[in-house]
Amino acid sequence: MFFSYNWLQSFFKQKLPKPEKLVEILEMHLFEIEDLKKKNNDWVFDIDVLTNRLCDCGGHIGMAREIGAILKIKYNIKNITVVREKNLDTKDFLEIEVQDKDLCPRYSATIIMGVKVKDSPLWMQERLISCGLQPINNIVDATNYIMLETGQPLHAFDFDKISSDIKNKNKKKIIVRCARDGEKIITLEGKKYDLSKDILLIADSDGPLALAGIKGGKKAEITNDTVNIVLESANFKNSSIYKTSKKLDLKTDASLRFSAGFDPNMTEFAINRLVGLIQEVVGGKVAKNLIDFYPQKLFPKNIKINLDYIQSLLGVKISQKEVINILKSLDFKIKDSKSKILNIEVPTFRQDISIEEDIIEEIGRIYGYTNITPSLPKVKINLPSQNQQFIYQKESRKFFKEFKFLEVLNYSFLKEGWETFFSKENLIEMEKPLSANTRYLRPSLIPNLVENIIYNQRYQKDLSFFEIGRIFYKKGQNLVESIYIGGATIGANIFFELKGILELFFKNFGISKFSFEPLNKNSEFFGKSFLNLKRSSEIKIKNLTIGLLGELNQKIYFDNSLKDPVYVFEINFDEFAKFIFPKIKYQPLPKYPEVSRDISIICHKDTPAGKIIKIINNAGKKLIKDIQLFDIYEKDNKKTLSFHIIYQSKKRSLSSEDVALIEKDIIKAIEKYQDFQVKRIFD
Amino acid sequence: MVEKINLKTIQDIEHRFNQDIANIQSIEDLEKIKSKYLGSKGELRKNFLLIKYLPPEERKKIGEKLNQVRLVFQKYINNKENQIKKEVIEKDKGIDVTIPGKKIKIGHIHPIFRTIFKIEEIFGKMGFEVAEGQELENEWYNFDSLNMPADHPARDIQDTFWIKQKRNRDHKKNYLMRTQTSAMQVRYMEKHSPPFRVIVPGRTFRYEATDASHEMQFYQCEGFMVDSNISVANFNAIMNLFFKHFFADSSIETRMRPGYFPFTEPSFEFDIKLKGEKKWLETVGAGMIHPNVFRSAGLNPQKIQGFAFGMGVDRLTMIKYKIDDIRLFYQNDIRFLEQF
Repeated sequence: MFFSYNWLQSFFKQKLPKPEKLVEILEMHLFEIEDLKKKNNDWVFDIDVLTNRLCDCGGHIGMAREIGAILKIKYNIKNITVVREKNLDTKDFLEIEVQDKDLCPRYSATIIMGVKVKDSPLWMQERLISCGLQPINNIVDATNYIMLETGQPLHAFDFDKISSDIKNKNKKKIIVRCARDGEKIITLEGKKYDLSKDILLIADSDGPLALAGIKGGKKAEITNDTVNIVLESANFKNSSIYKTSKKLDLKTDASLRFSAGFDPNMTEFAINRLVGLIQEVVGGKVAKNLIDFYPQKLFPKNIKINLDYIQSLLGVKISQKEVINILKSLDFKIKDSKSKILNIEVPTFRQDISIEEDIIEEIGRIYGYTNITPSLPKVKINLPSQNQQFIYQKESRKFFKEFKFLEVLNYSFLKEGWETFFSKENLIEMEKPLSANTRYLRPSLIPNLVENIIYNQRYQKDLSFFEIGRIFYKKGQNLVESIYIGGATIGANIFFELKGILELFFKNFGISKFSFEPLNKNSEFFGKSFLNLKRSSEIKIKNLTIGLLGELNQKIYFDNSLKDPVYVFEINFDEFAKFIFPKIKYQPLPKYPEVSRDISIICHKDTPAGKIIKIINNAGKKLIKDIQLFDIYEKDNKKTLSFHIIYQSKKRSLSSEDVALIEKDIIKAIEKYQDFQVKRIFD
Repeated sequence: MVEKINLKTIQDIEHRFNQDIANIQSIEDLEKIKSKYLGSKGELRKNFLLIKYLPPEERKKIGEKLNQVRLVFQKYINNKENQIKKEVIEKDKGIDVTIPGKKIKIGHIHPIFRTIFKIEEIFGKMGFEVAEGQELENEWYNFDSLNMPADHPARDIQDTFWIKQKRNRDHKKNYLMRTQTSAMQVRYMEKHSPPFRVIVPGRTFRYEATDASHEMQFYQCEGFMVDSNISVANFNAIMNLFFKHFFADSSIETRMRPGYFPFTEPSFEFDIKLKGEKKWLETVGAGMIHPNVFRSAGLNPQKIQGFAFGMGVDRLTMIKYKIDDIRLFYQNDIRFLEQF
């Protein structure tokens, strides 16, 4: 919002600080200044007036009040005198009917007869231009000028273009009502809007004259032929104007101010200044009475403030005298100041003030936050409670970093194209996507991770990425959000490397009861749709599927001209975290030596190695320390698996005879299965 | 018949030993010779075992001779070993230390999380705990509970990603991507009793076009401290401490000026100026928690007061590393990621 330095200066006898200095002062006590520009002989401030302060700082008077309070100097508003025609009464010419007093709490209007429309004087045009408004003609410019001065939006209609009252042809009638369905209005710019029942209108008996509080209509526009005018100074309910302005996508100086909420007591003050200004610069006969629809006058609020609370909240002692001075300089009235509790009357133009803390803010900012000395709080020492989830996530980041993974942060949305891998009823859709890439929330981390590989291929060959983030999906009527950890890596035959890393990942968090099993077509995990099922596994902890590890569907990497297979994994971190056993369990160093023996087993080529390892482990009881598969040899429909088996006892040294006995058990257990055969055992 | 041992056999052994050791080039070969002659199954040991078959008068003489030979062999071997080691050391041509080191790859943590961990570390030392909210939040916690009713113009500034669904009168059933981590304030307060010292780092969303300084997705860190008498002066002190440590800059300047947030009263902005810089940088929006926020959480605002603040993690990271384009954080270009 633009403000003129010269205009602001006109409210003070004293010279104001230089514009640059004024910027600094305003920023430290009031608003941010977006820009300061020289324009002719003037300086223009672009002030970022906060929405809650448009009620009083939407005009130069309000800004002058603030400057006065900050600099501790008095601001003065020049009086405008009006000569009113004794035998010209607005009431004889105009009737106002407000149908909804909630939406229009006040409507003040008056008429001026015999004006001559032409360009406004140069000084007025300059100020309007400085403040970003285009001069139009002396009447419209005057309404804008007074709006810039007082903040009150005003409007002028051509009296003669308004339709007469149906009941009384000698009178014009203005009706404030809601639009009817199908009604239309053409605004001053010639733009047509379709209206609906929730839109408040200024109308005459024939139809709309203006969008209340937003924009005038073409019908009663002030033109060069205009002779008689009606001036409107009204107040409208903020939420109604806000909604309409949003609905029609039409923001104006008026709608901005009304949307924020404006003081109904301002209408009279503003219209009187407007009438005076028009009489001064345009001429014309001003009618003697104001029509003022104002059924429920707004009275100032009284708020009690406690000096002790001011000190406690701001953390600085400000004397009673200074508190009173600050509030008086902002035009608050002190009703009672006998005790520590002051009774304050809040001017109605301060619509933003409703509680004690609001007044404390006024005191704080005028006093100056920079004048509040920092002081550390006195509190009881307390260890913050640990957020385990957050710590586990941090540990996981460190873990994958150690294995040369790069952490990425992807969008929480699914990139276009990937939605085909999911069933639509599981996807959470956005109401208004910014683009096709933000239509759905991501139901898996994998698609974006694969995109990371595709994108970075041009820079490096071996790539490994991981991400810890939220995924989102719909389960029936429920929206589910869950923390996942996922990764993607590119390279030939690295499934088992990745599996090894994941095994270590689990062990690192004290989880030993995990398994990798062939991926089932019926698995409920989303990721399976873009995996090569023959080369993928689901990850289980104690029979609960918590993740996937596998090779990406070949089609995807053919389509994206990826040179090597991409392996991906994804683990439900929320579930995973429930199994974490974070304590390190120290094992005393073994006292007795380990014995290593090899064994080869011939089986059908489709037999999972995991099955045989399980059999050996069970047969070996507690004496097997480790089983290492070191060779796989395939021939026809058979394969030979060769293992190193490491035996060790915690209680004694194992003799060759001891080991031979265990081996016997193992062979027996294996040969129970008809299609398994133990080939040879050697030292 | 047992082989008989005499001086001649010993001489033969000596002779062979001398021949063998003369040809030795390496420590490995020397070890073989050592075990061949002096080992537990070596030639000398074998002959020692034969002594008991000699007539008693010869035993002493042969025994002494064998011992003598053993000591000589030992000495020869030691000398030879020292000589070889010396030669090896002398022959070493050394390496060219200026040849570049092998490129070793390591992993990296995303700069955004480096910042979050730093924030957590500093506030953790001051007794703040970490809470994490949800990104898919409902309208009530994101707006209403924070003193931002449906028609509040302040909602305009935070354009929102809404989930496609029928809007419900009950705002707890209308879902959106949270526009601010402040959405966690009331959720946290509902489940805990004051005093509070909490930070909430997390991802937030705004429905807006992306450019070098705007992202539709970014990270914020909310924080709040509530007790019976927490003040603006306390906030100022804590923020000063935080920024000094975060930027490792003890001469950092800070300032507070008025701001506006519906959920704090009074509200302020906290700016910093780093050593050697001319411009003030806006970093934190903050204020004293509005009584209506305490009421939303079912707490009595007469008894407690405190500050809340929100800072842009992306922005702090950009300032710290002098990154000029926010989009780099979510592009995940390895040339960017590998620098952190």
